[in-house]
Amino acid sequence: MRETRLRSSAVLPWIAFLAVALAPLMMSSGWTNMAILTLLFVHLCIAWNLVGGIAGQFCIGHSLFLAAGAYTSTLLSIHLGISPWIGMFAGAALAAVIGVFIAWLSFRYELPPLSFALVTIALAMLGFLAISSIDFLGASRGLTLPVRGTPAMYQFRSDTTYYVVILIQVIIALALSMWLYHTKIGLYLRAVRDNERAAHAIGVPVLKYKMLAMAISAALTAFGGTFYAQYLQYVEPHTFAGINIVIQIILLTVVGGSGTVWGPVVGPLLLVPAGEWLRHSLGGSLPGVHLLIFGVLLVVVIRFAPDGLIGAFGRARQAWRFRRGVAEAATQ
Amino acid sequence: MSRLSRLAAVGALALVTGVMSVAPSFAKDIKIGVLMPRTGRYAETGLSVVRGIEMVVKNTNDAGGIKSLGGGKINLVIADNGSDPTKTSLEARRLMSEEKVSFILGPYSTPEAQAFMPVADRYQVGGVGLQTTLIPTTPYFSTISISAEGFGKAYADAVKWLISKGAKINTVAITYANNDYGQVVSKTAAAALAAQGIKVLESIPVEPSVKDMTPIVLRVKSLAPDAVISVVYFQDGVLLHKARFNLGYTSPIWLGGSAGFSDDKLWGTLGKEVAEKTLTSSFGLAFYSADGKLPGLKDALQKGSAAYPDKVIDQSFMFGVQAARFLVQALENAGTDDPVKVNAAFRGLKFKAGDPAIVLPIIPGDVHYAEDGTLAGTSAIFVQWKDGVKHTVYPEAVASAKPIIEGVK
Repeated sequence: MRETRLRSSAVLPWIAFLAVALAPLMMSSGWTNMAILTLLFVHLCIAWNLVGGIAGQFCIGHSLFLAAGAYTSTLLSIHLGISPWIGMFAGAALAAVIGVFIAWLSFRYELPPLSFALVTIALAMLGFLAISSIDFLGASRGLTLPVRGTPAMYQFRSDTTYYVVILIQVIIALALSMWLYHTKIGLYLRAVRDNERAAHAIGVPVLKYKMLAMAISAALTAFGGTFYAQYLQYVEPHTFAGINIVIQIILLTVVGGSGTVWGPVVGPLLLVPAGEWLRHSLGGSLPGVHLLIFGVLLVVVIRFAPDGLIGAFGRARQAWRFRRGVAEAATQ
Repeated sequence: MSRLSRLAAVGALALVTGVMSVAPSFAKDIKIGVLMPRTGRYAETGLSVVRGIEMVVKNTNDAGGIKSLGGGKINLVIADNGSDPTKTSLEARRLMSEEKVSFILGPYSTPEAQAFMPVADRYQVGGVGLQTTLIPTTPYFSTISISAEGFGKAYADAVKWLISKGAKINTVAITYANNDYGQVVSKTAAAALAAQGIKVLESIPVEPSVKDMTPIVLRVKSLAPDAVISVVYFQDGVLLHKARFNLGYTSPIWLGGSAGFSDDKLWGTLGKEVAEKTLTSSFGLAFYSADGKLPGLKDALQKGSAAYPDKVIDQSFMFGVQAARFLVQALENAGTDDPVKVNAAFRGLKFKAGDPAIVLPIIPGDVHYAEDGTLAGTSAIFVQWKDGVKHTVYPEAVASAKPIIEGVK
């Protein structure tokens, strides 16, 4: 009985997610574009959550990894004609190396958590300035990808194909996140998050697992960066290396529920379409009002679900079960 | 009349009536996208542009619509790109794939245009950039601005003209917004000045988000140049003039632009005391000045003031008017709402000097689109301020006032 309940609790979210994720395939192309953006943020939030949520290390430097994925695949495509399908692995490898270096630099000396956030934000700003200034990287003007129009070069005629690609990426990222969460690695990372000294005392190799989390998170983010660049067919520093996108990723994850498996999925699934819908509906007629409503929506969510929507959902389910148990006991 | 004849007569009458009732449906309305910043950094500018576009579209629709489409009306679909390249790309996709627009007026800035071009290329729907200083890389994008390289050359030409008017300029310092636009303008101006035998003492980059221009002005002062060129936006331009005023450094000949020297709100923002000390002796590169002699400009000013009596009719408004007037003519020439044909008609536009469709003073003569999608026949104008009003001083062919040059009587 217990095993059946466990199985259903693991499978039901997947079914719900796939039902929501496959719906845009049956809708108009306008919905497909919104769905692509939503899934991209789901992917990026899952990646950030590995370090920022599960491992509890507040990283603000993920724009570096996003830029590594976007720029590496784009530059390889423009200058050497290498397909971004291959370039994305080069971008992911570069991002992983950068991630490991940042982790090593920050955690080797056991700096307090706030220092890690400051180090990552400083390096992100440095990366932004470098990309904005170097001509080879397109400087502040950015780089436009040549139109080749072939799937072999990661370019598709239909937006639906882009949607399928990002959906597959999200499923892989989600499966990886779920697997990590329930294995020894996830257990160690959660132990580090909850009490680093205690974890260290019982023999958890803290530095090694933090570096591992950063490497996986950075590589996943870079895959997202490659997809984003190929979808827009254009890269520029503000979008790919600016701090705004990192804040957006963190905000969406926190609203969904950081440190959980499904939190980084639920946050973007609800808020990205809400934001886009508000912009479409009100951006033309009442400029700025959509931002105001979106802000109020965020405040309401954070006020009533401080541990994220997943946390609120868990509490509500517990309360419902408790009430049902009381009712059943009363009838017996 | 037999029964058959009566039936035939009734049938014929019904046919004629039917044809008459069907005739107005030949008028085919056309959907046009407007992709402009209505929030974010360029929100104020975008709102002004949209007002200009809406005015032209309303006038056109009220005057009977597009004649070649049987009097079809233009329906605008306005989208906000949030002053952001990514949102520009996403909104352009939506306008093209979902709204099925025939053409897009916009985007506004260069980074937005970079993001727009691949989408336009893919969906084969044309667009026109307003303040985009790049050279288009797709046949589905055109611009009505001057390229960054063009700006650089315009500064060098203006310096040459000042020398011909008696100004002693042997050395120049350049300050520029440290982004792609500023970098290209600075490099082009420096190269053109060097070719004229003028020494560029230093090119000083300034972050566009700068909070205080005092260190930059002090650096320029230490170089003691004969003239200074400042490539600035509105906000950093305001800071520059305030720093010049506070440091009492107003003596060298100062050229700059565009918004930071020629925006219609600049005098009021600086206040009379600062503006008089700094702006009256400076030369501001501009796209528009209300004293222009073009008949199309005078008409737009009159209609704009009547339509929006409580708003400033500024450069952005005129950019909107210009883009919309070009589009109306392109639609008349195309006679269809097919996006490919509308874009081809836009690229094929040709106007004679003084045509009522021409609004911006940067188009003083005959104009047409070059192969690369830039307007051939544009040249920047320079203005000087007097008592809060801009006066065009260069080129002399379109000037309304004589220049006041520091050290020249």
